Parts: sequence; C-alpha cells; structure tokens
Amino acid sequence: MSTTERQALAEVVSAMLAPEPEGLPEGELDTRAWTTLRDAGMHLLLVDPALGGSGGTFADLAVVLRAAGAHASSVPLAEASVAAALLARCGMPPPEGLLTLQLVDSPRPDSSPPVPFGRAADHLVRVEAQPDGGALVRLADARRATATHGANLAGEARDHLSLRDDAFRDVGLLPSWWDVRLLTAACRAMLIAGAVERIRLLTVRHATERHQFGQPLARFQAVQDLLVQTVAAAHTAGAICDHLAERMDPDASALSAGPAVAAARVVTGEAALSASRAAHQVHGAMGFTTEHPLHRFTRRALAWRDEDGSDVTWRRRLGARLRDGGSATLWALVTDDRGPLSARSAS
Amino acid sequence: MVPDEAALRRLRADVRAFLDEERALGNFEPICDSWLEGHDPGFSRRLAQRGWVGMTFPPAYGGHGRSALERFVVNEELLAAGAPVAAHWIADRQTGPLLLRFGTEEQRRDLLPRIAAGELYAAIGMSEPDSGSDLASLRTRAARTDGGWIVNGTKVWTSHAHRSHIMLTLVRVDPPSQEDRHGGLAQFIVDLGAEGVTVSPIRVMTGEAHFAEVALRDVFVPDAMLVGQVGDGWRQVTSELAYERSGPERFLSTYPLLAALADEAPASAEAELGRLGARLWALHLLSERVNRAIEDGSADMVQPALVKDAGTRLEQEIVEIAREVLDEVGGGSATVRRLLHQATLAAPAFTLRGGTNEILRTIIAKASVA
Repeated sequence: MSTTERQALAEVVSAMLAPEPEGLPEGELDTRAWTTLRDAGMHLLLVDPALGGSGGTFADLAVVLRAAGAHASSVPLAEASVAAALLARCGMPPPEGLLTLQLVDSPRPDSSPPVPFGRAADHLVRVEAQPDGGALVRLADARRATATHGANLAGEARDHLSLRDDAFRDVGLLPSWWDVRLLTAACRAMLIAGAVERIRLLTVRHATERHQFGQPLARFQAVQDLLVQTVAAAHTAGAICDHLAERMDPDASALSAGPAVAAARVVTGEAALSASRAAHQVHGAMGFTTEHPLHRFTRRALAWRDEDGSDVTWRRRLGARLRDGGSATLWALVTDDRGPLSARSAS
Repeated sequence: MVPDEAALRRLRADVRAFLDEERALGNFEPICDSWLEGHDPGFSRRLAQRGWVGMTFPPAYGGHGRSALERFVVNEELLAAGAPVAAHWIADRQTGPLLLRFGTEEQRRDLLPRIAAGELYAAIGMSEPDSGSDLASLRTRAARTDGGWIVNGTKVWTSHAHRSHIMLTLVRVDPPSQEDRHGGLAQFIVDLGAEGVTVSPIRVMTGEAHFAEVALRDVFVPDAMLVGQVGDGWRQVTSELAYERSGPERFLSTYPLLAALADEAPASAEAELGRLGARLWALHLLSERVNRAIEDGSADMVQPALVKDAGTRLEQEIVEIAREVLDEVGGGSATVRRLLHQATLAAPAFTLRGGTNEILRTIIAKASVA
C-alpha cells in the first residue's frame, strides 16, 4: 500500500469505529464494530490472499490499530489479526468468527494467562514457546471453555479460559516464539499511539472550549504547559511508531526489528503516562468522571503499557542490548538499526 | 534532490571514517556540547576540505548544493562523536542560509565561499542585556550617515565573538508602531574588528568564556553590509530561528556522556539506559522529520520547538542519570568522569539557549489551539 492508500485506509477504519457506543458495559464486545471490521476483512490484513486475506504488511495493520486505539474500540482487533496471521503462516485459512490470542512462554502446560475477550471469542489461538525457541500454534473452540471474567485497568475483558489440553488442536510449528512476542508488542505500541493522539485531541478541545475567569483555559500559561505535554507525547509516540511500522519486514517478521519494537514500547509507555496525567489535569474533575469520555482513553493507554510485555521490561531489554554492545550500539541502532534484540530475560 | 537511504548511510560511514582518522591522529577527544565548546579552526578547515561545511550552499558560492537532510546527517555524526565544530557552527547553520535568502549578491560572493571553506566565523548579535526573550524590545540603533550607518548599542551572549570575524547584528532603524512592534528592524554584517567594537568575554559557570558582550560605540557600517532591506530584520531572524531549532545540537549535546555510560553501567542500570536510548531515538526521528520538511518546504513552527523542548530536557536528564549510575560503580573511568563534570556545569544552559523552553512551549501551545 502507498502512503496515500494507507491514509485512505485510516480514514475508512476511523469512520467504521467512530460511532463509539455510549453505555456499552465494560468488558463487552462491541458487536457492531467487530461485524463491520470483520466484513471488511480488517482482521485479515496479514493473511495471504490464497488463504482469504488481503496480503498486507505490518505497516497497513499499524494504521488500522492506531485508529482502533484512537476510538477505544472494544474489539480484540490486534489479537484477532495476529491470531489469523499465525494460522495462515501454518497454512490454515483462518476460521469464521472472532479469534483471540494467548501467548505462553512458560514451560508449564497448564499455564493460562488471561485472554483478551475470551468470553466473547469463538476461537482461541494459543502459542506455546518450545524449548528450542520455536512456537507451537494451537487452536481451540473458545466457546467450549469455562470463562472466568477478568479485566485490565481499562475494564477490557481479560478472561481466564479453562480448557482441557485435548480441546486444542495443534495447527503448526513456527520457527520463533520470540518473533510472535515482538509482533504482539508492536501491535500494542500502535494501539497506545492511537489512544495518545486521541487524548491530545480531547485535551486541546477542552482547553479551547472550557472557560474560567472569563477566558478559555488555553490562555493560561500553566495550562498551556500541560497542553504541550499532550502534543509532545502524541508527536513522540507517533514518530517512533511510524518508524517501527516501516521497519517491520513486509511479511511481519519482527525478529530484526527487535530494538525498534523495544524503543516503541518504551516511548509509547512514557507518552501514555505523560499524556494521561496532563490531560486529566486540564480536564479537571469532569474528566475524572465516567460520564466524560476521557477515561476510556487514558485507562487504555495506561493499561496497554503493561500488556504484551510491560514497557518496564522493554526498557531493560533495550538497555541490556546497549550495555552488551557498548558505547557505539545506541548510535548504530538509531542511525541504521539492524539485527536482533535478545529474547533472554533482562535482569 | 534528497538522496535515498543507502546514500545517506554511506555518507554517515564516510564521516565516521574521517572522525576515526582524526581521533587516531590525536586531533580531538570527545566532549559534550562540542558545537559550542569545541572551537577548533583547524578541524573546521579540514572538515570543509571534505565538503562538509557550507553543504547546502550552491556550488556557485563555494558550497556543495546538498540537501538539508544530508547536512543533518553529517552534523549528527559530528555531534555524536563530540567533535570540535564550534568555530564554523553559526556561520554554517544560519549565517550562510540567511545570506542566501536575504543577502545581496555581493555579500554572497564575498562571504559564502569563505564560510564554506571553514575560514570565516560568525557570531549572532541579537540578545541584549535588557532584551532576551523579548527580542523586539532591543535598543541597539543604526542611524543613517554618509555611505552607511552608525551603530550604537550592546549585544550579549554572542558566542565566540572574540574568535569570530563578523557579527550578524539585529538593530532598530525605525521606531516600532502600535500595530507592529516587530517593524523597523534590520540586520547588519558588522566587522568585529572595526573601530568602536569592543568584545569582552563573559565567563560562565562551566569555567569557559566563549560568551561575550559586544559593545558598539559609533561603529560605522557601510551600506553594503545591510542584509536585505530595512524592516526585514524580524522576518530574517524568525527564519534563522527555524534553522537554529531544528538541529541535532538540541538533543545530542550530552550524547558522548551517554555513549561512555553504556560501556561502564552495571546491569542494574539497564532500565535507565533503555529509557534514555529510546527517547533519544524518538528525538532523532522527529529531528530528521523536521529536516525533511525543511527540504520540501513544509516546515512548521511546532515540530522544531518540540524537538528543542524535549531534546534539551533529555540532555539534562542524561547528566543526572549518568551521575546516579556511575555512583553505583564507584564513579567510573577518568574519561566518563570528565564528561560528567563538564556536562553537569553546562546543563542549566541547555534549556535556555536558542529560545528558552518556556517561550517555545508558548509557541507550541498557541499553534495547537489555532
């Protein structure tokens, strides 16, 4: 896709997601949004056309995810997209229905991390790390699971799905679990960037429209300082995510983009915090209520920092790489980043 | 014409090779703030011989007709290495572009080739003791006389004035009007060796005295040294500020310290290293974006201001993190301690120079609600 085509895609997806449902209970799937996205094949961007997808690149998916983040959509679009892509990589056409994803890096077979929208999903794609670093891709009918509802900070469904091992069918073996981890982490960065951009927009609008002492809030220098924080957060997160989107290989293999993924997670994590703090400060008490839309974006931005590897862990991973490589490493990465980010856990 | 990624990578490699040679010959050691504190005419000339000063000037004026992005890439490499580029920095960064945009043909022919040769050095004569952020309130005056102008006033914070040949001096010619307090200003090319010019170094808390106060007492400036027209002064200065704020010196001043830190930091400092590294990466991307925008004429006020605001704060934070990290390893090597010492004393100035961060934030805020 060209830049113009991607811009058009962003607008189309934004239009699809713009009717943000008021009063949708937290944790519930936005069925209308999911149906609209599904019918347009938006979750099949990374799937080969021969298997029913549109054969797009990560950069295309990135645009869609940023729009999803900007609209706080209650749809596991990142999970569905990656799940579909992994099945396709194993040669399986993605099944109809809502897909969700679970990554397991523990050797314990009964390890079952929370599943995004587990309660609403039709299919669960579970990716188990193998001793040799590979990834076993397995598929189960999620409706057969006993779902215990859970939620992240933003009230998004993060459910425990109880499924017997024999409920899973082995779909295929991929060469690298770490590659999948990086891919989901990259998706999360895009979602955060979208949310931060929306936070900036809301804050600028509020500061312009809300009047106190006979003038808009935006006239007060102390408030201007806060506005600038949201602008800076949006630009910084945007720039690092633009770079990451370009940097990922067309077939969405993330391995060589490891450092860029880590940097994007670190920067979007900081942007989430600084934008959220500044936005709430500008919005005053009104923005703290559930009645006002702001919390839908700030809670997501904050919650997403901790998902698909927390930004704190990504800091350590990037730092370990810098330490291992020594003084010339950061400059080499920044100016011509090539090569892997180690999967070994940082101290 | 903007070169492709591969060509830019080759350019970086060429600059790195040059720097390796220079270091091997013992011609410089990395310092922080090298674009301000590393004044080395010999280095400037050698750099110019490689075609890396006056890069964006047209070949007809002794330049190399290269893009803003290529210039950005070269300067990033130089600053990351802490190379001594201070002597030619101002002339290359803004004086040359100013003359190309607003100067007379005679000024261009006379001055640009010498700037591009790394031999003519310029200082910025804008700020005054009573006019800092509020530059339009300046009081240096130019009055018409036979064949030129008589200039009176005092300029301050003029970096390296005592080692420069000319000072681009913003003066008031006509009084401001109610509607336009920026009107009536002009810039002159003042010969720093002219009669009536007194340059007094100002010592700052780093121990260095590269700042100066320049007193102008009845200094005669010939007509040929007026840049553009009377009344153009404010427009010229605003255009220069865009160049000034978009460069890598707004986030790389303490990079040599960060690089040295990576070699000496313990494992417990990895999270901090990662944080600083990621932020620097984002600033590089934003700054690169600004330079691409300069290239295609779409440069705005907001992005350079953002880069400068966030970049200079990162420069300061690197210093404090370095101190904490090195404390864990008993202080670190002599090299890194030297860099830390230098950077600590220089740090307060990062967020002041080139437009205080407070002013920049006002610019960003106003543009954001417009």
